[in-house]
Amino acid sequence: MAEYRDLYDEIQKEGAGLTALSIDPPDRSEAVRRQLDLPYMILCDTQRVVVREWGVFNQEEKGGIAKPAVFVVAPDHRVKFQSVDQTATRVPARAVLDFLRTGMSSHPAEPVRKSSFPSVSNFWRATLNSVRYGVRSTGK
Amino acid sequence: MSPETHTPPRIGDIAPDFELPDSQGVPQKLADLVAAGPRIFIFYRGHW
Repeated sequence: MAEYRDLYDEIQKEGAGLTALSIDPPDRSEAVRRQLDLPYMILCDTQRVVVREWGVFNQEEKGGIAKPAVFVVAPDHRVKFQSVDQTATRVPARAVLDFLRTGMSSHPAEPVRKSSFPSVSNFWRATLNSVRYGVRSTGK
Repeated sequence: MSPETHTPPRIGDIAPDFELPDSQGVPQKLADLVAAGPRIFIFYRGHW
């Protein structure tokens, strides 16, 4: 989330938009948005309808949450980029930005992640993020 | 309808339509969100 915040201006320069989505209710999502100073909106799928229809519903955890996933959708509603992960890591924001910069001509998700971003660095990034932002809060 | 039957849309597929409230309670439609240009959608786990 913060990774995309830091690249938000560059994403906008590419003429693209950015929206986050989770199953959290609006008050909690708004708290996250303020806490992380996110310049983009967060959508609230409290009924788990969209996460199901988009095939990113993880019902193994806590009543069902979204899997970490990134999509790029074009104005014709077609999916141009797709990366769905089972773990807390996701495709690096920089790779998605690079995809926009190259005119969305290729599908880089898996190759880019594997060649340029070894899993060790993803793991380290996720660990840092969870320490920094307390991504997985407990007790709720 | 079982949620397990849904797989993520692939490259080139039409994204499933939706309308959801944002964190300020404002309804947002997919069609409006992508009208002006491509849009990145980040699904995240949330705080539960």
